[in-house]
Amino acid sequence: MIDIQNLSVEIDGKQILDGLNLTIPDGEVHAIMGPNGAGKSTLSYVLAGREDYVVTGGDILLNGSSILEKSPEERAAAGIFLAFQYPVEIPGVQMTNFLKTSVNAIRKQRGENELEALDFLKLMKSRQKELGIADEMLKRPVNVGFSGGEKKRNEILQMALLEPTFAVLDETDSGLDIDALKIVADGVNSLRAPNRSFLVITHYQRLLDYIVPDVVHILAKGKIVKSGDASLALELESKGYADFVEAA
Amino acid sequence: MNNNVTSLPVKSRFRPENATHFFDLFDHNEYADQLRAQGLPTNLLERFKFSNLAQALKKASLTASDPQIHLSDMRFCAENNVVFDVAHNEPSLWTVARALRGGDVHLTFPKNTKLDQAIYLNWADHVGTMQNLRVKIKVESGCDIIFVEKTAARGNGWKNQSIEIDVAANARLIHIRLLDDDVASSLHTSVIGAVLARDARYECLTVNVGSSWSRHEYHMKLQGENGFAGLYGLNLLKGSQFSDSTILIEHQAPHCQSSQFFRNLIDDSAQGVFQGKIHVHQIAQQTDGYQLCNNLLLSPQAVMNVKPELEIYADDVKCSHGTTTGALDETPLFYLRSRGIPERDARRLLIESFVGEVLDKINHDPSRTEADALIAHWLS
Ligand SMILES: Nc1ncnc2c1ncn2[C@@H]1O[C@H](COP(=O)(O)OP(=O)(O)OP(=O)(O)O)[C@@H](O)[C@H]1O
Ligand SMILES: [Mg+2]
Repeated sequence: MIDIQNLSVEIDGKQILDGLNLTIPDGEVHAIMGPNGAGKSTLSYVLAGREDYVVTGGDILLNGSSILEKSPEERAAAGIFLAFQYPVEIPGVQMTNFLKTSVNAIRKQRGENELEALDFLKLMKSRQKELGIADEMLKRPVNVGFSGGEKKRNEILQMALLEPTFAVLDETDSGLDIDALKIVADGVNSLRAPNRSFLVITHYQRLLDYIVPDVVHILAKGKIVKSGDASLALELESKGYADFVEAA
Repeated sequence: MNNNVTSLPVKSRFRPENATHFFDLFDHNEYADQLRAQGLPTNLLERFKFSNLAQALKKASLTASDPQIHLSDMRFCAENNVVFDVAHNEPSLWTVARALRGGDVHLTFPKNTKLDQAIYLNWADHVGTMQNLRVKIKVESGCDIIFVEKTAARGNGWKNQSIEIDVAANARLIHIRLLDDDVASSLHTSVIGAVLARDARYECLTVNVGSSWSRHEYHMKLQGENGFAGLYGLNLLKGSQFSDSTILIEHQAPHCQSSQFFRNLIDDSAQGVFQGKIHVHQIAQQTDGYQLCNNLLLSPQAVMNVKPELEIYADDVKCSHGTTTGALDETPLFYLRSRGIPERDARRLLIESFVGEVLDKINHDPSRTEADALIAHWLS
């Protein structure tokens, strides 16, 4: 379970999150919608442990214990995964090497045996196939020269390999064509499990037709201003944010 | 390392002697007279803006010695008349190489020579000595040659070298330099001058992790159509090391390409310099000149000076240059760490990829293995 309590966050002296509360029990999928600049990506970075964001108040608990003092790699080993809104290009680091290093780094931190090259390749091939990712893509450097949609698929491939217990998907649907959207949604749905939870950040109700959320939240001005069931997304789609932001 | 000098075609031998004064290291010739009159290069000269050779040599107390070199293949040691033409109106490394006592090695590759194996020139010991090595390489038409230079001397000393290269029509020379001299107290100065004929290709990769003070100059003259000169360099510097890469590429014929790709990785209070100039003569239409210099500073005291220059007299050319200098980018670092890769490993992965992209420019497996080892050692 993820429990975000009264979280306030600053970057470069500017307050972005302002007493945000959010609890996601195991097995649930929550969606966050909200206007541009509301602080959605900020929340996702803070969950993953990005150091230039300063937590000025509140706490984040994973299964009852605070993760604020943990490094990004420790959080990853603890089961937190962030699919980036803007996946990062890393010239000179080849995809397969990156994926293997990542999988084994997490296994090592968890005290598990590292995978041999062959076993890793088998694992990668099976996940890659499910997500319709070409071999050629995995020979390239990380995200370099990938199309917008390929980058997003690549994030889901990483998620599928790392099998997190809590995954944040920051606008993973942006830039995806209909087919890719279905593939990505299937990827997420196949990982849905009683011990695993998701936070899906999106601007489009459409995604939520494929990944049906248990709860939808509206984030505005650094706070959750309204929560409801899946119908809230439909309401937003027709009315826009104005009413909710005003009320905040 | 084999220091077999007796079998080498080294001319103008001399007996080492104590040099109480720098000029005792000089030969008796017109260049020595010139340097006596002009003095050594200092940073008052534009091309030495960031490096002061006179200053660097001030504390050196050295005796002159034959260059202690070993060649892996002696078959091509044959005298040639290659001369890289340069003006001596101001002090330069060319004047220094011609003025200092030293030894000469000439390599001549007859027409269509294609070798399976690279030719290695190992230059090891130099303790307490100044060693000046003048190399002339003549690559006749249709040749395909890989020439690898290696230095790995411990102790103090000064290596100076000039390499005059002539690459004839449709010939290819790959030149790899793995430089790993003592970082505490050794100096290395070199100047490479290459003339490229029509359809000739010369590529030089310098991997430098050594020397306390070094300066490497490259001067290319593209004199025939469709020639290609590629200069690639990697300097890994730490402690108080200093290294200067200064380049001049002259496009003197149409339809030629040149590419400069240099990266400096600088830690502690080390200092790097990159000066790269592309000079496109009026006749050199359709020149394609490219220059990129990226520098990674690993400590707040690390210093990098970069001076890119374009001098273009032709109207139909494509020239580009770019340079970046900064610390390791936090965003990719965070991306890797968010995937469970510990900070130390993530940094190392990014640094290895930073240097790897330069090494990728040249495809020679044995050298790549050695370069990787030098880099791994530097990083450890
Ligand atoms: N380094 C920074 N310095 C100052 N302000 C910043 C910095 N980084 C982000 N911000 C600001 O923080 C606010 C929240 O940004 P964030 O990326 O979290 O928004 P978002 O809700 O994800 O928006 P979008 O829907 O456009 O992705 C924005 O106003 C942004 O300009
Ligand atoms: Mg965002």
